[in-house]
Amino acid sequence: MNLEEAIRLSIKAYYTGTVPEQFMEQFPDMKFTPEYFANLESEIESEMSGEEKGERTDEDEEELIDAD
Amino acid sequence: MLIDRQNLDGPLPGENFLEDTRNHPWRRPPEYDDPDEFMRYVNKTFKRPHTMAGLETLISSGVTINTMTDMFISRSIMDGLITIDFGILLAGPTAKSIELFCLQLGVDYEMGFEDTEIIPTKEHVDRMAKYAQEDGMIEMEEEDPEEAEVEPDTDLGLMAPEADLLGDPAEGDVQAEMLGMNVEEEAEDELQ
Repeated sequence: MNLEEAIRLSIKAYYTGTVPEQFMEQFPDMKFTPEYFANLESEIESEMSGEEKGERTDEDEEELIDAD
Repeated sequence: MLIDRQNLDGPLPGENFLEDTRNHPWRRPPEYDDPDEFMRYVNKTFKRPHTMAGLETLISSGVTINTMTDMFISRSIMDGLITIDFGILLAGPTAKSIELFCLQLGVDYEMGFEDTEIIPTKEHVDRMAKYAQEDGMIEMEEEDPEEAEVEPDTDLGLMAPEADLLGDPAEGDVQAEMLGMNVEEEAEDELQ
């Protein structure tokens, strides 16, 4: 595994809700947690109307792949 | 110790002590060792107008968030801002930050998770078959070396016949047919 693959796996793990526990234990007062980003995302979505904000275009394809 | 004397370009023993260990950024202590500080740096970087314009252009042209994060983390490691481990651990929050920037900019984006699928190569398939064989799931047919066809190792030169024409000469009838002499003509010749 090279660095690029490790970064991609880390991103995928983060998006599937896997948090490195010992890392969070090492930095218990971390501000930029997944909860922080979730709140920020909901704030941005509430401030912006549907047409203005950007949308993820490959989410439906991924769901179809998972369903298969 | 066995030294390969043919390889004169190899490193000399102790050569590493002659180089300054602070020559490259990634050899020095990282600039950021706190995740919040690095995430503030990420936000500060992507809030710059020219970086924001670059992000918008790249994402609009089909570059995925995964690729952008990979580029950003790799560059941060090369610049000595973070260590490799820290970069891997903070790849997720960095990707989320970039995604939220795209959300704010109104750019449609792709995460690019499908790129993580392993493309099966010949080596990959062979390795998986080997593991399956070790587990006793399948039985591999080993090729008998005696039955394998041995190609003639003959070098007949430039004007040599093709490989499928090698062997014994054809029968007389076949040669006559090849020369355009059919049976009727032979019969006429006999009558004359």
